[in-house]
Amino acid sequence: MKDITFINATSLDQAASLLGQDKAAIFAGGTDLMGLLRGYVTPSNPDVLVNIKTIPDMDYIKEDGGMLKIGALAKLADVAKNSIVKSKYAALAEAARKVASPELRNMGTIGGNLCQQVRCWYYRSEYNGYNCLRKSPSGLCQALLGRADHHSIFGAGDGCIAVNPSDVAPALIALDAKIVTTERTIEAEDFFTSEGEKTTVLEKGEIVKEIQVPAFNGKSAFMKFAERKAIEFALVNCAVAVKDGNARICLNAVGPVPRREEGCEAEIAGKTINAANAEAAANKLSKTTVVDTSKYKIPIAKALIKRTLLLCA
Amino acid sequence: MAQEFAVIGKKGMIDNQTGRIVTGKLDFAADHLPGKKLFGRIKCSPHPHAKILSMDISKAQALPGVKAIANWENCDVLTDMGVEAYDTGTTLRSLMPQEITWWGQAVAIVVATEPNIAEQAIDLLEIEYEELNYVIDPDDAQKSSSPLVGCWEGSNVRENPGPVVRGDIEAGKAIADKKATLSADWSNYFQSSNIEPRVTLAWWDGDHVHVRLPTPGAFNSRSVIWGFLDNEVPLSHIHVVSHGTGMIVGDKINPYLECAAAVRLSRMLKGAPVCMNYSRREFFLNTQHQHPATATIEMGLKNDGTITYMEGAFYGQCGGEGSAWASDLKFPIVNTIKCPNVHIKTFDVATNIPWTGIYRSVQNPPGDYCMEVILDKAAELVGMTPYEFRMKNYTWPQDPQQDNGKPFSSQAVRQNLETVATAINYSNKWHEPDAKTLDDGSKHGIGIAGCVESHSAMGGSIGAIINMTKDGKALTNHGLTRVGCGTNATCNAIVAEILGLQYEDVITGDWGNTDVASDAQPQWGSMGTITNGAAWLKAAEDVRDQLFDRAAAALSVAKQNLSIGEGKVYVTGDKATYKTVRELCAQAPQLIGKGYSWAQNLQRDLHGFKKGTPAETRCTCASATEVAVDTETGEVELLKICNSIDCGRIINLDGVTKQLYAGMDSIAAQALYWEQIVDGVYGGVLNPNFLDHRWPTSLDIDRETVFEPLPIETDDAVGPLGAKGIGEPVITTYGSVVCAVYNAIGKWITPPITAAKVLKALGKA
Amino acid sequence: MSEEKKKTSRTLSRREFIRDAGIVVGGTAVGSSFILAACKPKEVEVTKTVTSTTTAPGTTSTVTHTTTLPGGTETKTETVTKFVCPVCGEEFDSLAALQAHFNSVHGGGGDAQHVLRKLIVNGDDYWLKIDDNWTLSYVLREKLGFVGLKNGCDRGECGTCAVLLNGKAVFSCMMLAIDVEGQEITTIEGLSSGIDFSPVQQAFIDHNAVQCGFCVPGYIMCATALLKENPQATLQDIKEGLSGHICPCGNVKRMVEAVEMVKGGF
Repeated sequence: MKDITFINATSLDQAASLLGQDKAAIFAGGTDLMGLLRGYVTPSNPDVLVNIKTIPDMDYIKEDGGMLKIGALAKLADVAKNSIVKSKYAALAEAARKVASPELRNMGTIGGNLCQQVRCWYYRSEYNGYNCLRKSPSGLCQALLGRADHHSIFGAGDGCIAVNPSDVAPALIALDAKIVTTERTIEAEDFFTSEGEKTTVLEKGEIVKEIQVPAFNGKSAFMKFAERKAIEFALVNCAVAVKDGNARICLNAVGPVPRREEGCEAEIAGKTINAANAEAAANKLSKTTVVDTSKYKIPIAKALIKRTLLLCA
Repeated sequence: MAQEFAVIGKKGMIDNQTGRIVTGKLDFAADHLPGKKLFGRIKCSPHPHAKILSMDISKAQALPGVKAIANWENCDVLTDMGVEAYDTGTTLRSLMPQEITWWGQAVAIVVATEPNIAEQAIDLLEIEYEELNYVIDPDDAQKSSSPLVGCWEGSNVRENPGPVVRGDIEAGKAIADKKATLSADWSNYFQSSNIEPRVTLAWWDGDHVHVRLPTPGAFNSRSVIWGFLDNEVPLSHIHVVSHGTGMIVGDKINPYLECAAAVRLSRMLKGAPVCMNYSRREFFLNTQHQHPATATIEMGLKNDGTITYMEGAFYGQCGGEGSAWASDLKFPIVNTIKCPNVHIKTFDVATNIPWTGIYRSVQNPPGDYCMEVILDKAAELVGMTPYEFRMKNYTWPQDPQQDNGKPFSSQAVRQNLETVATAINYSNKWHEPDAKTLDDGSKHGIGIAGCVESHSAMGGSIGAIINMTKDGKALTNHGLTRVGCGTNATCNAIVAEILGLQYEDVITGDWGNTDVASDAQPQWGSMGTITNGAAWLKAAEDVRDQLFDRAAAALSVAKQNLSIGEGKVYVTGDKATYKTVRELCAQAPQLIGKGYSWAQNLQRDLHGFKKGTPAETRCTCASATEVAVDTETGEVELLKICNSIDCGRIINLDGVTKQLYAGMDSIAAQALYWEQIVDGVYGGVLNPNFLDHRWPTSLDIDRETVFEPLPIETDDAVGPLGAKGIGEPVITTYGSVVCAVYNAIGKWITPPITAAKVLKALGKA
Repeated sequence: MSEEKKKTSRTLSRREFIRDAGIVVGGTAVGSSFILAACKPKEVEVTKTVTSTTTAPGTTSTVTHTTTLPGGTETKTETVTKFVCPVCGEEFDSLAALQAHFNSVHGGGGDAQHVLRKLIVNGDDYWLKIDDNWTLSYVLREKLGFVGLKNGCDRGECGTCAVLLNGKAVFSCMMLAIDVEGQEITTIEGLSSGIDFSPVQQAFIDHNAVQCGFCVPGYIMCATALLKENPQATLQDIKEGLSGHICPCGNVKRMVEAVEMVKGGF
């Protein structure tokens, strides 16, 4: 790993100001950034790591003012085990519980999970193994002609067919959450992007402070399909929240950003959730744009929509 | 088995290093000299085929903390006085050549005070390459139009000497009712991914070099290191200690670049300790992989299922390094199937992928996989179940090895197959392919596989020394390293049995230490127990003989009237007349026993062959697997694996059980997950890490219900107390999973059987 | 005399001060007034007034000592310059003394390499220099000699580096040592004396649940934290809790069984 300077931030203002500079990176759990830095993945390495774990009072999980509020620094393990989250916002608890592995959940934060970088193996090839277009405007997307086993079935984001890997993101979107930053409040659904190297709409120096989930008294569920039942990033994941006969269905790991499947939602709206209806809803999966090596994700996405809906029956 | 043993075969043989392991005190190579060693890192080639034209090391050299930089030409050592340049030498040059033939091959080494600094220096090397044409696909590599890989002249294909030729193919064709050309597609390319990467720590004092590394054979490693040093120092000046070894299954058999670099660079650095501890990435890219294999066999079949002839070839991929390894791919089919008319060749195919070489049960798993697929296809043609077809055609215990006529000292493939078939209830569970759906909608499948494979022979003649302590216990110093499957415990148990001691009274003093022990058969090829066990048995018999001498004198009886047991030497039939082993050992001089293993000859008459006949000692095993295939997601769930191996004699029951579990665990990995993905378009390895080259976690298999270990005993006619090696339980499960998936969905899928492949085979993707 | 000793122990002579600081100031023992007071007969008041100005470097104060003697009032004025640390406020009598303090405690000129940092490992404090880019596993192994934890992948994908941080299992290879300054770290060496084993360690021995042993410290650390948090962990809880670890020897079954044996007896 290159030489860096590690600074313990004492306030969000200070952190934001430090992060406004070039060559500074935010450091919370560090479980994503450490992989990038230790592996010399990108040619642009930060010189300064701004540790925000030293900013007090940012890891709460509480109900307040008719909503669930989670500080961005809440550990994924704590979100998963929290009794309020488990009982009322089951999709979120399950999503947090399925991230990575127990140790990484003890280290990683919910904010970090939302802001993580893509996992494409060309991008992540160590010592900057591939000049991919995510890292450099003069680069190209190797996955298009190469192995796209883990990639998008819904086309590219700014030319890149890597997927957003977050497990927590679809759960928050299904639960209609908002993300509060140091500058604004954004709908979870609008938080993600794929532009250049960005995976979120955060501007330079902008920091996620809090996640707000409106009070939810319906049924929600989350499922993750991966090559193994632990450690893995999702090949496909799906979160569903059903309330008053309406469903919000969100997929992730299948596109450059998490996506609501509104066609599927419309199909199941107002109907009893049973095997036949759930399957019919799943078959309304939106039109895919996919290369050969990712095609297998399509039936899996449909299966997950059906099965996650059935968990909310 | 009729024989009764006091120690042999009992549970709970806990070796006396277990306490150190659970407290983190067992010393692995990189655990030595914390804070006092230099670290080496490797620059891995970013091209699959290239020639290095130049390397500018000036920026790397200027980084504070960098101590040495080595490439194919020079080893530059940075001292306070400036740079000392050494020629790299033939040995290192051969391991780190100028022409690169796979992506990731070592191009340069940097040694520095910290791994971080070494890595930064690697990043600062400025290297100019001439990129050359490369080929990744093995079928393309065989075409005359293919670029040459660079490891051989003229062609990327090489036929191995020694095809198996017996009988008369034409005669076999004449009596066949059916003929068919049956094949198995390329199996997967992967790496055993030992949990401890390759590592060597070396330091010099004077002209003595001290080496710490994980190895199955400390003495073999010493000899290899002697070669790395161009035989310039005596063997006895090379001090190898290998205490902790982080998984040895063949890939760490021979020390390689990491060891050559450590010993040579340390000497250039005036003896400073150099630790070449491969990173996980370096390890994936610079350690042997398993050869993918394919086979096409033309087979003649009678209507009753008898195979009348087999003619064809196996192909194995050898990677960019060009070590030829395909010849034993044919061993399973040639020795498991009783067929008089055989002509089978093997070929190596080179491609620009990281080198293939030795790994667990080398060549037999892919060779067996090919055989199992072909046998299942043949069974379908004659309307028999895979089990019936195998039992119709398997060799018998009395059949000698097919290519040389030597008797097997034990051969129980039929018994293995029957054992697993019974355990899994095969006769009731088998159904036609794609014919059974379970309640949850998934497809049920059952597969079975068995083979005679080439490992578990008696090795070279090696010796063992037992030092009896004055309080009547046995102190053993093992030349064996501690691999973890319990071979040291097994040898101690043999000593205990012969000397009438408790298992706990035989203590391992040191092990894997070339300064302390006598040479041992390395623990490869499942030769550990059989060879070393024989030596320890002889040494124990020597001790017993001397105890009898002392007791005979003390009791004034004839030596042949004595027996030993329960810590006593007593008159046979009169246990009240005895001397304790303790008091006999307390006499001067110290009681020391010595023994050597014996040659691989029958130790008794067997199947009409006389005692003393040169024999073959091989492993036989079988597996039966049940799976459920989720046809919506392509996921394969293991429902049951029954795994049987012939142990000859079970000495260490825990060790045997753990090996059988290991075989099942590894198989889940081999058949379902493992693939070292080399991108055919850009030539690079996409997954040199544990994330995408994956081991099953504790959640991935319900091991408590799925795994069923079924060891059997046959009292091997060569091995000590009838025991032989049990390290090869991985072989047949590989094939049985593939066959089970075929039975579930009616489609053949080559390993690794991923969801993507299943869905594609089902036409859903 | 005691008065002279105190002088020398508290101040530099004017000449030395000028040589070191290059600034013309004077200084006398601040304590002189106390000594004067001690020698005084009763009913003496001593007052001191201070006016300060700040010049760079150091803070210069003019101290006026007014002593009331039986025969009248005596006033002395002295100018004292103190050098105050901008980080912690400690005062020094010379720039050199301040620089030495700053370098050793706070790091002079942005160079944090000279700072000693505290790691708390297995209940003991360790003060050492830690580069910002050193991982916790590197520092624990190479700088502090806790080699029980292993480095199987250095990327958080195998579990062999697991330690406890404030009682929770974490991957030390994925943490920066500097990030856990002052927090409680437990390694495998901290679980037992090596003569008595912890319950999890004993279970691994009793059940003969090790093979090569490389992954075992990581599994034991994780199992220890798991059972501490949930002594009644079910088989499924145990399997999930250990799911971040791989065992290429294929010994997962035996280790899970060993952890199960500890249940309740933790």
